[in-house]
Amino acid sequence: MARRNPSSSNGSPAAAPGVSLGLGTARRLAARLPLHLSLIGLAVIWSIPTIALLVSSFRDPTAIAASGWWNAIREPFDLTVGNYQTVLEKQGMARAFVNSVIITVPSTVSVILVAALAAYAFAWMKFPARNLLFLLMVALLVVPVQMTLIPVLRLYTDLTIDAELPVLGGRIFGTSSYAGMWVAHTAYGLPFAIYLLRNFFGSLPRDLFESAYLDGASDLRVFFRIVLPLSMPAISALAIFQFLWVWNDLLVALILLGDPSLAPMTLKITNLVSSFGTNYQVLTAAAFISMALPLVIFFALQRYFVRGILAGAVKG
Amino acid sequence: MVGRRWWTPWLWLAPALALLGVFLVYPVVDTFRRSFLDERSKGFVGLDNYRFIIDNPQPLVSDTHSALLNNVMWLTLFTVVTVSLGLILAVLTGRVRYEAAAKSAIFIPMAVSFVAASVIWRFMYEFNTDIGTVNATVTSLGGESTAWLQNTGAPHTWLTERGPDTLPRPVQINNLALILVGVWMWTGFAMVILSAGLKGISTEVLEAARVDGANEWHIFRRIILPILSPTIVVVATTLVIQGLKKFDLVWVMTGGRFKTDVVATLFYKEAFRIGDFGVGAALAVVLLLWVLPIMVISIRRFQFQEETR
Amino acid sequence: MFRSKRSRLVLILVAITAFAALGLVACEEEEEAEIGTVNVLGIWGDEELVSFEAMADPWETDTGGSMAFTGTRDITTVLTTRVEGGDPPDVAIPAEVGRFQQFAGEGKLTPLSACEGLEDAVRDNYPQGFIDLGTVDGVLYGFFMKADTKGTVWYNPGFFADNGYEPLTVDSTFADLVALSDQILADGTPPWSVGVESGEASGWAGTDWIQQILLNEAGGAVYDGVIDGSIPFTDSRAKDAWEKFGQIALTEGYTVQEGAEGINATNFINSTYPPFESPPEAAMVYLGGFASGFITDQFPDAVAGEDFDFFPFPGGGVTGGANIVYAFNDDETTCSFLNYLASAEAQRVWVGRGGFTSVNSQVSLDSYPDAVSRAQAEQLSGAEVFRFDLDDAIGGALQLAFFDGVTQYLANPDDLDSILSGIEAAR
Repeated sequence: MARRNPSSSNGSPAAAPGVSLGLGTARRLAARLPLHLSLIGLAVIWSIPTIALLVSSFRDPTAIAASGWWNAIREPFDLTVGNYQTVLEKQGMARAFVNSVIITVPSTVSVILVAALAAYAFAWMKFPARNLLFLLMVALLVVPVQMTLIPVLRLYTDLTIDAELPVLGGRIFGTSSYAGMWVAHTAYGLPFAIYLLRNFFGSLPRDLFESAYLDGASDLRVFFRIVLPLSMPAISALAIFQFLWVWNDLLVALILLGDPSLAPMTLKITNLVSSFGTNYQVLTAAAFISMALPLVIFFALQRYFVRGILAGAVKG
Repeated sequence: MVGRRWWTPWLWLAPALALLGVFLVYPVVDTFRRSFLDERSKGFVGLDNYRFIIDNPQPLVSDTHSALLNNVMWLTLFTVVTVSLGLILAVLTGRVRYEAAAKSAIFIPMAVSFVAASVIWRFMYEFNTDIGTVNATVTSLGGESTAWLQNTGAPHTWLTERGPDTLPRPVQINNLALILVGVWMWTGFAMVILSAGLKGISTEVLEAARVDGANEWHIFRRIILPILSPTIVVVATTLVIQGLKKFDLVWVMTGGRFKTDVVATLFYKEAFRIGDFGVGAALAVVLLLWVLPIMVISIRRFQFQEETR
Repeated sequence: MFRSKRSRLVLILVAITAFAALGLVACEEEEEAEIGTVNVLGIWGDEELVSFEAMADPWETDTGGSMAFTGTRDITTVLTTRVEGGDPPDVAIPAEVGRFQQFAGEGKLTPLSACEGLEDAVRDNYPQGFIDLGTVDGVLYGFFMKADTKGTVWYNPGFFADNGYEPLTVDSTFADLVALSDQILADGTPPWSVGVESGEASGWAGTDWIQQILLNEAGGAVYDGVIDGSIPFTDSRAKDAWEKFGQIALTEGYTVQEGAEGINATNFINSTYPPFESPPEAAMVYLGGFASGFITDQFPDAVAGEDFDFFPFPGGGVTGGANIVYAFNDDETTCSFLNYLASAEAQRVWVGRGGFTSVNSQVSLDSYPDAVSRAQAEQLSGAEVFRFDLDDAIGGALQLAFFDGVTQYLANPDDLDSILSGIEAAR
């Protein structure tokens, strides 16, 4: 049987020695046809709702309520950028975008840091009640956010420092403060983050640590020099999800961020819809505008779980 | 490790424990306390709120039994389908050149906020065949349209006239429709995490197996699955918990109406619409207790992993 | 040695920051009491929000204050959480009165008398009915703005004229409505468009039908009885109202949605479109005054009075709703803003922009931009018998049971008795 290149690095099969290119390639293609068909088919079906949303975002609001989106992709082409204009030109939308970035980026970075420290302890340090503590901590995954908001808000109103934060705006801490949002989002993201990272840290081979400790490395050194770099796939995955969840959050912002000038994009976007729910069509355009940055992050980080970097790194 | 002081682990855990304590543990304790108090959290009512959940005296407004059953369906069906699809896609996309594009297509639903997802799927499930994609497709293929989000009938009734009109709750068309949306959103999540896990499998091992004549299925079963199993457990556990605490999706699409209520939406309705913090808290406690056996199982697997490494 | 230098540096930095922070805080406290920012929590978005901001503009210019609006459709949750959490807004303008009564009862609200001139202004210019609604335990806590009549049956005047149908009047009866429906059906068009889907509140459009019928068939006293509980939902008069609604919604061929499945699945906004399509797909749709906004959104060329108009729900009794305004403190800024909001001068701003009916008697009918909105204001102020929306007035679990009852009744009309006792059990 002809030797094939391992498929995880690139998809093209090497030509088998001695077999003419034409027949060999065709046979290989035929063998992989079901793979391609099922994958592409699945991806297409998966994308239909998204495509529907995309097409709808270019349609007039009255058309959206009158006929299905597939009508727009054939004659007469009734497409318009009006929805996008409405969203982008909405007063304060640019500031809202900046606010979203200010809220989301630090929240993402801090959750990774705090969770990684804790996950390392859970994975590689021994201490009493370790498993019980881990179990209880991850059980917190199920706590609905709404349940926590009243006590947290009460705490924040007590801790409010009514001074303005320079440069960024808002208060230094408490309600209507960016710092309050960072802390809250970090806390809410911790259970999943610790759970995920602990699993990845735990799967690293023991001899790696053993040799490092033997060489006299401290925990901190092992953490920063060995564990973190090797866990980039997991950390990237975590970064993307945390970014997404904070970026798309609405409720925490509504409750803890009372000042409308600090409002993130999600809040500004819901204000485009009337109290009855009319004008919801702008949400189609708003969805894509809001999706832009998270997708950029996804593409930037995807090399960590699309292309392997681990091959060879684990050798002793 | 030699020389590690007894307080070192706690130092590493400190920031996490502090944040979790304030933002999650304290509210949980507070909720637990409220579950024994009345609607305004003023007077002690003992187990009355829990009895409410068990007795289900107001099925018109808060059908607790229906909610519990729906959650069972969510945490089983939703999890199994999402993990399976995520796994299949993680493996398949790793084999093709257009890996990034395929992954992105599956991942985009996760990037879409719940609000936007609800807009999309309202278009999909819209009853009016002029607007609703699913109904339009179905009728053009000769089938019958139906109100996907409002229909509480048995799923098979859509395909055939034979058999009972309704199956025992929660097997309802609208539940399945909602779960489909959940799967659509979360498969990308499963796929991304499982892919990250796949990348940790040394290619040399796979190569060696192929040289030895193993076929792809064999490799999948004997090599990939075992190595990936801790990651699968993490993904599955996260999804089961998602199934348990499902709120946004159901709330935004049906508001829990037409018997699609789950415990989280019921808790929300009780606490914030009806104003009964007692029953709301009791429902939340049910969720918290429900998750414990799941966590025990998954921790057992961690312990197993520890012993074997 | 290196360590101690570093730690000294850190100490100095910390000290500087602390002093700076203290300085900032100290500066804050020296602020004079002047008109500052009023934080308003409301439900409005899109055009409504623009109009409300336009309404606040003159106040901002006059006083130098600023109005910060936080809008959310999920106001009940946000309001409840913020009040319980100790961070209430200055002013709240929600969609229903349930929470208002609860907050007032708990002493969290500021009585209107705490703001100079406010209570008198409201008592002088607002109808007694609305004053009573804003009163809890004898104290006036809130006033109403932005009212909507729910006694409007929308129809297409052109379609009616072309086919010789006569729009009904205040003196018509429910039987006349049925007769008109039969007449239109016989000519080949479904007479009604009915849609009750609305997410978590699905069914409320049906409750509007039922309460309007109840008011006109059984009278104001029975209506009030249902609200305070002296007359249960299982009473024969209440049941009759349901059955009449069922007659419209479920009679074969009456609705373009073709019965229960369609009605439960059709969004209330979309249900206003069929009578105004070309050609019309239905003849009439019953929904409150706000429906005119939906119609003009979907049919931007439609002219009020010519392409769409309403006739009063037969019987003369009118149900309606309004947004209540109340405050959590009596700061100078808050009082100043409230006084302004309650005034005719402020309300005229939004009235002129359309989509707003005022109950302030000082706002004259000429302020309304077109015949249809004028007619709505007239209906509200001139109604012989007026009642506030029934389920809004009761609120809580009963309101939700009422909504759920409607969707269940449509799907299973034979279960009406058990549905009615189920609603009553939620009281």
